[in-house]
Amino acid sequence: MSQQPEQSGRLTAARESSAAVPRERAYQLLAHLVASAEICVVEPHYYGSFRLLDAASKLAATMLDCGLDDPWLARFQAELDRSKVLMMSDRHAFYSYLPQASRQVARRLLETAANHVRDVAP
Amino acid sequence: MTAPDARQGVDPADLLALMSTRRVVRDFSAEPVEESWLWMILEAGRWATCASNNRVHRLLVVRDPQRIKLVADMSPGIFSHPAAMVVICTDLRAVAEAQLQPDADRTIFIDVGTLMMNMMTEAHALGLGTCPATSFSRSGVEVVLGLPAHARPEAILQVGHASAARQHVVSQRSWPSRLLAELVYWERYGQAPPRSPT
Repeated sequence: MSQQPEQSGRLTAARESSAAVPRERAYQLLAHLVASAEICVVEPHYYGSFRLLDAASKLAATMLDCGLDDPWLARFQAELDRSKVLMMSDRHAFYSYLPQASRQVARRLLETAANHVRDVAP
Repeated sequence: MTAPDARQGVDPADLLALMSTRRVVRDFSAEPVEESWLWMILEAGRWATCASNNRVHRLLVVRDPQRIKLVADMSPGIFSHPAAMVVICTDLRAVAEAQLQPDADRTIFIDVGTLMMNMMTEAHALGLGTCPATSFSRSGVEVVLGLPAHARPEAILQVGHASAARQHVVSQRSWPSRLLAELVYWERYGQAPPRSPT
């Protein structure tokens, strides 16, 4: 459900600053995602997870390159790049990493949500 | 009179060493590839074995950085921008002329492999890095390269100089590789060879 305009205004005021993403970078990510959707139909199923981790890394790189100051994201992106290639060398470790990555992102969501509530609290 | 044997200058052990030291390179430097080397690689592709000598493939060389970037954008399996790409296309007109069934005849794709392997081996002999890619959006690559309807992109060979970081990795890393004894059966499927290969 969409947010009410006045609530949205408050959220915007409290949100941390971030730079705009140039269209070219956004299109690169778009191309990666739609091309992956096409080839995932014929590739082994675990490639789908690999493509999504790769896309997540590209998204993180784009945000960081565009000026987002987020040390957690920088660390997470480096970890994604190290871990995604396990798909080729150690598939068991690759599968083990997937829920670890999700847990890290979930914890980060909780942290940012808590910060947000604190920032917008009257 | 017997024709001179062109194999005399090639030591089989050297050739095996060359093939066994080739590795896929996924991280290229910006250094350009000399055109004469590129032609040698293409020539190696020309001599690849091919079913019935049908020669239904065409090699599209891409060196323009902007076009390489666009191809990479539509290719999730390409991780950096090489100095050159060779797009192996099946020419559907040649396929029709040879009376092949383009979607049923496996030799068409087998011949992509032989082409690719010859070119990768020659590039390795020249000190260049290569990486074959099939993980690309065929429809997307057709558009960004403006391919005609009768050209079907089958595989993309990335050619370039390995990045300095990559050269370090190659010297440090040793991926697990299957032993010959695990891959070879003798006389009957599943039966081990009488002697362990060295």
